[in-house]
Amino acid sequence: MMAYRGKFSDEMKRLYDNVNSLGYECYDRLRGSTAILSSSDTSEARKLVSDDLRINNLEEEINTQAINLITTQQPVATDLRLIISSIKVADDLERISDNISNLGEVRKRVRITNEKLLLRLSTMEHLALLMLEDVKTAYDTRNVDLCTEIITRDEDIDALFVQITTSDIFDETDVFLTGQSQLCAKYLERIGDHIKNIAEHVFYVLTGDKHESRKQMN
Amino acid sequence: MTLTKVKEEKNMKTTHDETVQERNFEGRIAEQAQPVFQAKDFNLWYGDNHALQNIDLDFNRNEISAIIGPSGCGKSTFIKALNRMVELVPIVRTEGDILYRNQSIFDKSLTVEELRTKVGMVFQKPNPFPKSIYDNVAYGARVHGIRNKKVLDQVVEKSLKGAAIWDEVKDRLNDNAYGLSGGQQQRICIARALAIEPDVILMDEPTSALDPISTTKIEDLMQELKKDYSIIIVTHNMQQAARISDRTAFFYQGHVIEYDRTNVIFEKPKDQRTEDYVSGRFG
Repeated sequence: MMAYRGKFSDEMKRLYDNVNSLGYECYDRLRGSTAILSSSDTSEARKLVSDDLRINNLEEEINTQAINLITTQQPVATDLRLIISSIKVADDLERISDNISNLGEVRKRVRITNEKLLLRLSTMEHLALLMLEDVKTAYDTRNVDLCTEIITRDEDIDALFVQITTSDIFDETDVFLTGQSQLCAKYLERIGDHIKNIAEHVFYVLTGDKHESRKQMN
Repeated sequence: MTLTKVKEEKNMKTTHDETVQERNFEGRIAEQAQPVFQAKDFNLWYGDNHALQNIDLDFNRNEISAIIGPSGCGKSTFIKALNRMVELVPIVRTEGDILYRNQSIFDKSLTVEELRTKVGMVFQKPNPFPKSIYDNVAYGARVHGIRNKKVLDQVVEKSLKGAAIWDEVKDRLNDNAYGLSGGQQQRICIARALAIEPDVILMDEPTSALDPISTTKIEDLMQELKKDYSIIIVTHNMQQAARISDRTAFFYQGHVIEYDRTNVIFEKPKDQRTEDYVSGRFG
């Protein structure tokens, strides 16, 4: 006989919805974040930084909700993996948001006008956005292969980061500006890493196993 | 006589030097790999009701094996088949075999009394005899013909210590066991089972009538006991199975759906029905 466990199922749905909302918020914040680096005024950059508070609060809410579910419902198997992974995914999303804020902080300090650099940073942003979209699709459609693909796609962002930091596109004589520009590339590279982490968490929820990339890390 | 011999052997163990202890430990590990009970294509009917169907299960030595499953799945029937208690129901018919240390429990050379001396049982509700604490624990030894007061005293003390209740009752051994709390009564029942120095202890929901503190004490006790005994426990409390057992079998409608190491059953079960049951969506 199947039992419904109504309250538990409702709470699990609410947890999923909250993680999803956090993902959407981060997606919206990331989209256009590199364009802000060259914008003529800093108002958008300031907004990018101040909006991070909302993300932190949402992450906190997800953690509280997950702890409540563990203490009151004693979940096991897939439910437990899902709850633990929700905490981890929320943490990675919060870190993504921090990196986005850092891009805003850079714009508060300098304005980047180097077209070649901006194009590459914007490519990194787009690659990250596509990874973020796909990681949601992978979870919703239980697509393990897509998770693995997303994990390998992080290498593209890493390659761009290396390209930016080792190339001669920094023709500015301003060392401070060069440093800030490299920081932007680093922030975007970190965002890619966090999305890769999320794909690994989704892989774990779906299969119960750690992904190869995580095993290698250990 | 047997009791004394066993006792001597156990005392000797403690005096051995470290190397011997290590060798014993390795020996125990090798022995542990051998099952204490093996059900081989075991079937059981209550009249026309096919209550257990093609059960194949191995229970390891010095491990706690838990049996979980919804009401009516056959878990209590199965555990009672292990010491042939289920045969007390007149309409029961069985097929297949159950081996205890490689010997069929249905073999004529192994009497039911012998089997139950080796395989003790603790029930859901504490069921001490309406006698003193001492007499409850000494009961089995007396049935086995031990009359020597000194030996009985030793058996009682050792068993009560083994059941982690000696300190609580040592000054009132002649009080009636009914005067104890439920948790203490259950530990007296465990002591009574230990007194005949069994090999296996079967437990049929031993803590379901107890408060959380008493439950914790019994669970701690089980961890201690598994060093010397093999324990098979039926429980409705899945968290308990997860906490204390080494292996878990999930029974459903008379079948063993899944049997594996406990962490696998609760973290990553292979069968969807097991997943639904352990996560509370089923049963």
